[in-house]
Amino acid sequence: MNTEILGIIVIFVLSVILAIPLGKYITKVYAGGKTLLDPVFNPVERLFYRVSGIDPDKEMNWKQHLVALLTINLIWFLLSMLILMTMGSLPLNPDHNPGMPPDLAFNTAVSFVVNCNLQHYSGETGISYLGQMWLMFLQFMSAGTGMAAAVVVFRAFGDKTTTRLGNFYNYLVKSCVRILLPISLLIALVLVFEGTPMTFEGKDSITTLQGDPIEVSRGPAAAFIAIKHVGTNGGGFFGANSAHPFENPSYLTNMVEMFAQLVIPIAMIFAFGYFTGRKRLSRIIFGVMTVGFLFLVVPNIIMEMKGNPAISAMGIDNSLGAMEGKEIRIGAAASGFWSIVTTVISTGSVNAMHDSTMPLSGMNQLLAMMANSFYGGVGVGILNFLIFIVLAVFISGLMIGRTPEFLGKKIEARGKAQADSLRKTREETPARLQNGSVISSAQLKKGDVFVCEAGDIVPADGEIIEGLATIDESAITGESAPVVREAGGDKSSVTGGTKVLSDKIIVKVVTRPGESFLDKMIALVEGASRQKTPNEIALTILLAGFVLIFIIVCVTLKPFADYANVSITIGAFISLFVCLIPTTIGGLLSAIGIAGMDRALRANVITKSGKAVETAGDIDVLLLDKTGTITIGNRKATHLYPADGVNREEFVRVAVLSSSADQTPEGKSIVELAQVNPSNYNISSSRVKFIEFTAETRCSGVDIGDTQIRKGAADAIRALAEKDGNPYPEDVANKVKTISEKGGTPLVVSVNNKIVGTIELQDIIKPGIQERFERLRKMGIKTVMVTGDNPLTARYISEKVGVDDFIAEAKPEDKMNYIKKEQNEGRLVAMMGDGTNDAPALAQANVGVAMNSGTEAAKEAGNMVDLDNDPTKLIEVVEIGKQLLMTRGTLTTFSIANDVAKYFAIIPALFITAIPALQNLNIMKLGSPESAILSAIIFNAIIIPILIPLALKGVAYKPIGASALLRRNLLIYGFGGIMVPFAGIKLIDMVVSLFI
Amino acid sequence: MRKNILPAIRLSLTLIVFLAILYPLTVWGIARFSPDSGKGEVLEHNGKKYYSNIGQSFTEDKYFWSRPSAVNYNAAGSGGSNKGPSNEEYLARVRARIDTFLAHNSDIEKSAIPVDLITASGSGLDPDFSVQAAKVQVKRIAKARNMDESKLLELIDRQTEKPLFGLFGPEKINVLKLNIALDNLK
Repeated sequence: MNTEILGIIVIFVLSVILAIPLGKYITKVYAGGKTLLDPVFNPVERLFYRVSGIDPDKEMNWKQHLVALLTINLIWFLLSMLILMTMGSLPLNPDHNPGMPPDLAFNTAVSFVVNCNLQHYSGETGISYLGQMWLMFLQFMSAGTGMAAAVVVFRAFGDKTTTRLGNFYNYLVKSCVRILLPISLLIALVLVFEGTPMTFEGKDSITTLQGDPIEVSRGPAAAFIAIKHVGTNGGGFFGANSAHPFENPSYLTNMVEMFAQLVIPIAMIFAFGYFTGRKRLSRIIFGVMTVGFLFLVVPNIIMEMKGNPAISAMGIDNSLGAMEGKEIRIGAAASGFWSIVTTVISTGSVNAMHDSTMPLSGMNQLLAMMANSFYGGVGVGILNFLIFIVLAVFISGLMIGRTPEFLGKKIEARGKAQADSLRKTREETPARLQNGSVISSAQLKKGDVFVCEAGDIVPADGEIIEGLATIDESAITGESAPVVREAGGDKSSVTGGTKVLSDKIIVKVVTRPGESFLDKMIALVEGASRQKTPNEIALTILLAGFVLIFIIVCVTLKPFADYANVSITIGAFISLFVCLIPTTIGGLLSAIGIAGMDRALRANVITKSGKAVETAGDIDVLLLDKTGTITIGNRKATHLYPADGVNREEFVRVAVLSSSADQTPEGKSIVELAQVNPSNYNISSSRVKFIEFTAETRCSGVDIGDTQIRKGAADAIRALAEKDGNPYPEDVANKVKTISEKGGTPLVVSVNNKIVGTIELQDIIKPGIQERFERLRKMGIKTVMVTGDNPLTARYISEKVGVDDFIAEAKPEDKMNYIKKEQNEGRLVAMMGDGTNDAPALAQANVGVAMNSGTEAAKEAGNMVDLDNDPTKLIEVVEIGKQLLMTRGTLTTFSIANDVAKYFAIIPALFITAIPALQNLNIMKLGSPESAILSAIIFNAIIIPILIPLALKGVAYKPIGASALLRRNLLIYGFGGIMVPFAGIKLIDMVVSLFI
Repeated sequence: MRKNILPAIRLSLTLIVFLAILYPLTVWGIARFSPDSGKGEVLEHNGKKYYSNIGQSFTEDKYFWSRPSAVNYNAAGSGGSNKGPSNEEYLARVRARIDTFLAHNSDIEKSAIPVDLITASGSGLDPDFSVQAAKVQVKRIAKARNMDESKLLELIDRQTEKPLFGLFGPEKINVLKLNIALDNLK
């Protein structure tokens, strides 16, 4: 293989391979891990901090970082001005070079402090050795600053924090001392042994072989050139930079210098992966950067090796390539390769003169400088790339109706109003004391004793000291099935705010005022905070950024025009500016927001803010109550199982009879299942006595003459049977067990205390609910079922309907904690609820939808109210939200894409008379410069009203998967956004041309 | 910001001592052990001192000409022509170089002139040229020095530096070393 090509491949591969262990080392350095070099550097750093009085362990937030960074850079800048202007009369100036005038010193100081290294002086004649050493110091510092900034961002991504981001000085010192210095030292040693000077002696005078006297500039170059590349600075020691035979004496030094500038930028990408624990992301970033890098570098190598066709045409031997501005020892291939490495990494050193490279190579070099992130500079390369990712994620995220997860989310405190109705319950529930007097619940003290009968609300948390009752605890647990509470044992506590359904209990207050369950609930509601989408803020920042860029474009156009001797009228400037700034989307933003609220209202959902609708589109997690949402409110009988040896018909008859007077939905469902009319059994009503369900017996039934039929909980019936010495059949026991495992509720039936069979009650899953969950999954939303059932039942049902997760035996805090956990992981949570017990969770959730039939507290805590009381309404709300986000994203894309066409319409029009070559850009062939500008302005003016209906109607949302959606919207609104104005402006121009 | 100023100044001073003084002194110290004590690779010939990495201007017919230079081999300054590849003025100059070369090397076919002999290097101090650039001048030098061409070709062969490790980069010849060896041939 061609030795020039082989040299490039080897250096690139070697850089990548060595960047991996270096990335690990860099991670260890910043994360404070142990490294081999600790014994050398630990004492050095301690000395630094002792002298400077800095505590390197003091954590800084991003603002403190910024202040520290700017302060120390300002000091360097001032010192630079001082040194560069006075160095003519300072030591280490053997060549007696002058100090810099203020303007040149300013240019040089700024350019070296910010790692730009633009040089308007020549190293041989324009600076002393002291000045060179100072610039070398800045080459360490500017690189160290960039790396420190990158680590801050790594910390922010890795730890998801904006407050504890490490110490700037610590990162700066570590970057310089532990990373840049050792590598620079190694590189410098290779350079001196290959012939790069490292001397403080001045110019040497010699006579050439032909007898001409010449002077040879020397200097302490090796140390300088090493950090110039390791820190991706690029400013040369000599005028010709690394093309100079002292700066870059051999092919080996050329390889070493290329390695020196490549290795840290690549290592920083891997370090990003190790540091944040996102190795896959860092590998993807590396892959994308490498593809971009190769796209730029391969054409350059080919073009430079092929040589200048204008010289080939002269008929000489052009096989060496385009050698103008190139050195023989380096060759065309390595020069072409370097030209992209140095521009895309922002080093800026050259080993060949870029002005003399082929035109398309020059284009690639310019593109590389603009991208500045295919590896990019030390530290800042990966930062640039992350900015690109964030921008791309933001725009494409909006286009598919999602807020990107790359952006942080702000937390906004909520008002306290929603806690008021809870407080009312706690304070104003009447409490009946044993002596018959009634006081308000707020006056109850610990140790007081009160009485509750059926229908009463329990006024305070307490312990039953006498009696037994069924209690509706739905206000706390959310489950409507009543529970039994009785004196003694572990089921003796009652909670304030719950309702006694049957029987009578005497209760002793066990909590001090302010510590009851309701109090805790109030505290939860008041403490719950709501997150807010950063969408609109980010979009505003983006648009502001565009406006700023376009202001700069328009203002800088003036000097360009002056240089090209073009006079541009003020009117043309204003037209250009108006056309470029994203007025379209700016004008439509509010319309889109209002339209979203309006669409929600049409779905019978009242929203308290437009933001809530927008947030709904972003929901990652959806909490749904099982009862009423996933299942039909009540359980239904699904099977009747006679015990072994019992006639099936007889068992059905018994089961129906036991339920004939049972007006509960479960009871009715048994009759329905049997498909018989109890009156068919011809039982004379005089002999029938119905037994009601009580909390004590936990069974109900009927006495027909001497026959006692009972049905109830398995253990209750078992107790009845065993009391009479009747067995509890094994097959019935097994049946009871299987039914429970399948998520059902078993009821056991007995006749005269002999067990005859089992009835299976099951939750009935709403028809079509599976499809709904399927649709949610396609939207990328995780569904969570909330239920008071035991985990076994909950798992069974969740698997059956296809929800992703469940919270079993859920208490209000469980829901809250679940929501908080998801939010801490950066997800947005929606929840639907109706009870007071749901209020804290509704307030905590990003989108809380309360049922209109729900309690006041719930309605106040949520930020939407569903007038239809339809628990599945959330799905519609989510779609409306997605539509809102998508409309905003697609119209933004459309608006920005529009600029491309406007640019092509106006810029050639402005300059075409002065620069005829621009005719090639005039692809639209518009009538005249005046009509071009006028048409663009007219198009700009009419596109907004045309888009209003779309803004109001919204972009249709289809759950077809994120990438398909993005492709579709990019095609319609991105590509369309470019094509529509081309066509529109051309059409308008044809009309306008008729008149002017 | 104010509470950052003093620590930042003190930290800067320690960093200056470490990175702008100790680091270059270390490199300088180690450079004492390099072949020419870090003063640039030096070559002695007939009691005169040359820098083997700094190219020299050779225009006499009896020497191998070096590449054109935008700074006329002034080693107290350096730089390339910075001419764009389609610049007419530049192409005219290249044509003039070809004509000059042909005028001095009348036995040479135009197509044998390698591109490095008619283009300026990046530094203006390129110490090397290609093997073809040496060979194309053999006839002229043989005539000027009254020497056998084969001896010159042998010399070129000896002076040709192979790619690094025989694997990486181009072949080249150091013009100064070649011309010194040429003088020594007598």
